[in-house]
Amino acid sequence: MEEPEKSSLDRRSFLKVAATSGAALVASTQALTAQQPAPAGAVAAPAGMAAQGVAETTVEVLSEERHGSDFMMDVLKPLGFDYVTINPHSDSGGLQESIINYTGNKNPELITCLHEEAAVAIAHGFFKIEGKPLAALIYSSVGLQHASMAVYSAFCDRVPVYLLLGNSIENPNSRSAQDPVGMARDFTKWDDSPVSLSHFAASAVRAYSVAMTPPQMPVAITVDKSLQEDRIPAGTKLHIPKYTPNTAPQGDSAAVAEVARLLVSAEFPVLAVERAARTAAGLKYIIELAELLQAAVVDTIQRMNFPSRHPLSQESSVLRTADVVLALEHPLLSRSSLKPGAKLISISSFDLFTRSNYWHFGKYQEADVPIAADAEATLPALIEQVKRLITSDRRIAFAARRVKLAEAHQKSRERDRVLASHGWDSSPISTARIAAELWEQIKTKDWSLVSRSDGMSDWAWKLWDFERYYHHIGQSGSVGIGYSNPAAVGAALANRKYGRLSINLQNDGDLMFQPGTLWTAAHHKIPMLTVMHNNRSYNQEVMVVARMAAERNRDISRCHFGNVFDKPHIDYAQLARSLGWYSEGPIDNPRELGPAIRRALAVVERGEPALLDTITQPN
Amino acid sequence: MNHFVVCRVSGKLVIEAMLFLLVMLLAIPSATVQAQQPALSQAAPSAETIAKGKQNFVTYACYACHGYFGQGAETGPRIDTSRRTLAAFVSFVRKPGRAMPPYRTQSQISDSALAEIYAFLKSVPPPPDPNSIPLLNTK
Ligand code: HEC
Ligand SMILES: Cc1ncc(C[n+]2csc(CCOP(=O)(O)OP(=O)(O)O)c2C)c(N)n1
Ligand SMILES: [Mg+2]
Repeated sequence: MEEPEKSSLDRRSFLKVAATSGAALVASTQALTAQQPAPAGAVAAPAGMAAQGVAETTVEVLSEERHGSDFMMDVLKPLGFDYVTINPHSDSGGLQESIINYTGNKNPELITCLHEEAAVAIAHGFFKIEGKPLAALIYSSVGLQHASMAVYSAFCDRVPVYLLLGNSIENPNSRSAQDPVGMARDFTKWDDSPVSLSHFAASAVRAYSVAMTPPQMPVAITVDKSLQEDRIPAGTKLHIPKYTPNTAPQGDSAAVAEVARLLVSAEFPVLAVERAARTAAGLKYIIELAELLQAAVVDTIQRMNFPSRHPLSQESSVLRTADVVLALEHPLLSRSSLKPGAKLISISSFDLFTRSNYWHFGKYQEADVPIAADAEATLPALIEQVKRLITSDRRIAFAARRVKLAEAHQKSRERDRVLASHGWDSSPISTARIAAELWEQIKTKDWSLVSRSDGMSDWAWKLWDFERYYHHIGQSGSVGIGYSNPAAVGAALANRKYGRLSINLQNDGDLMFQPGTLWTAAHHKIPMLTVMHNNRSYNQEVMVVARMAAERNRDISRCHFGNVFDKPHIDYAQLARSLGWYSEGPIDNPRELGPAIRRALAVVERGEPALLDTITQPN
Repeated sequence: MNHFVVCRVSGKLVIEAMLFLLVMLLAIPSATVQAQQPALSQAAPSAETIAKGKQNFVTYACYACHGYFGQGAETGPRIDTSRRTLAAFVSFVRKPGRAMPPYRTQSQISDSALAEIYAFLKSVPPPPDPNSIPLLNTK
């Protein structure tokens, strides 16, 4: 692992930085001259402060020892990237060298990735825990081509990833591209290809601001090789714009008042939540609103929106009985899942930014009260309005509603418990058994599920007590296979500094898209427990082809072609071991599972990754 | 364009008519299974029959939705053989509800292969009482 190092260049001799302070901005005025030593690893502002904003800065270059990419780091570092995921290439060697030697490979630190798709997906997973984007430094042409599915997943999942794309346009080579982001422009929010350093500074700060403003999405800055490598003439003064975060767009107050009236007077309102909780605050607001109204909550769990064991958490079938449905960041909720005549309210930032080509949206929603705004930012005002309208009569009705919902919740939990017992002792191991065995050993720890929860028939969601925002990172956004393993590593990287136990339930098919990511986790000492959902197949596709053959009156027994991993079976324990992980398996006896989990957790608690290859039932 | 639409519609009608005929024809052999093979549903099937049924359950992809022992999953429910006679089991698989793909023809799966599956599923012990499983009784 590359140790974070201090800068080997003495920046004091050629650099002068002046930062103007402002309210809520990082308030340090620095003039880095030969007389005043620069704080190690810091240039204009301490890293990690971008959430509050960053002060404007003027950099005066005093000698010719400075290169364009050094200045680029002066711009990027205050934005607070903890890490830069990288797959190296000659066209951003300048920037890579500046990250290593100019800013000392610390805030940001390089994360070595063996594929660009992993570089972006790691950043995706990291954001979902930390709420801070990572930069991914990749080759503009061949690298972005590899990365594109991961960029698309982040776009669908409303996750900002900051792409830095090395290109060589002034002195083109065989991998140069005139407009490299063109191929990803349908699923990025903004991009630019700066032609000068001051242009870089302005666009780099703008890109950050655009990415972080809801709806949050990936952005790309193409960095030219010559611009990185050329020396900056002595006496050059360069301006770094200040960054003040945008406030998120809130719903119109009259419309919000109308929504409150509809919800309070509804007989059976349902909150349908998808990417509603952008942050931990969103989770708190949704609980507050649901409890004020004693309303059912139906969650697609794309974010940790609502606690899994909350009595108001209900099955999606309740949507059919609702007279008023409040869809929060849920543009895919279809009217056809509601009863005729039900009022559909939508608060979503979806229409505030979208693209035409890739359909990560579904049918047009036909909401009765559509509010184009960020749901999380709108909830506090809605909660206030609802509070104002609740009368004591309504409160009595709400309390009765809660009793019924709590009963229904309890019933479905009991049903799940019975279903979990089916195949309890079977080999291959049932996915419910895996979830239950894990829960027994993690429930008293500070845990975080860093994978999709929908892989193993949702058993983790059904059996574990998801309560805190970091307990779950939600699903992938695009359902692009190959997302889960690197996103889990990114989320585990974010959990590391909190000492949280990261659990990854890993589908076999997904793992094999980016197996090299295992090495990245071992190399960077990212502790996590990966438990395989090794059904030795693309089981979803087995079902698809079986259905297809059945409907066409053809041979169903041939549905395994192209879909199963046999002859040979893949040995994930051996694979993981070769890439630096502790591993055990294949484990197909359910009785061996508990002790194996115990041994693996001991390894993870020492700070290393561990994998259990469990041979599982198909779903 | 119009020409194509007409062709597609009429083609679909032809297929549907054929399927209807097929289903009608198949209803007969599956009914005779019970008449001809009462032994399979009453006498204890041989270990060999059960082993064949277990293999068939994989070969014909039943496991992909129902699990290797028919224990059920999100994608297909637990198959409870006490709910159906062999004949009813066979006719369900040949003409299930919308959620399960239909195994309509003998060439897709023979009645005898289905009878073996039925025998295998009958041999699967019932699931344990969840109250007897400590891990399903914790907080
Ligand atoms: C693509 C998924 C899929 C496959 C493959 C599949 N099933 Fe099913 N099966 C289902 C679903 C879904 C249901 C529930 C259907 C319903 O209720 O209409 C079901 C229901 C059943 C039932 C009724 C269950 C009960 O106890 O009421 C039986 C019996 C059954 N399947 C047998 C089989 C057999 C035997 C095979 C293989 C020859 C098979 N299935 C293959 C999905 C599947
Ligand atoms: C990039 C990509 N390629 C193909 C697919 C189609 N696809 C959907 S599910 C699936 C199988 C995934 O296998 P695995 O992760 O092992 O899960 P399982 O189906 O076995 O539960 C595939 C290939 C996809 N969603 N994304
Ligand atoms: Mg699989």
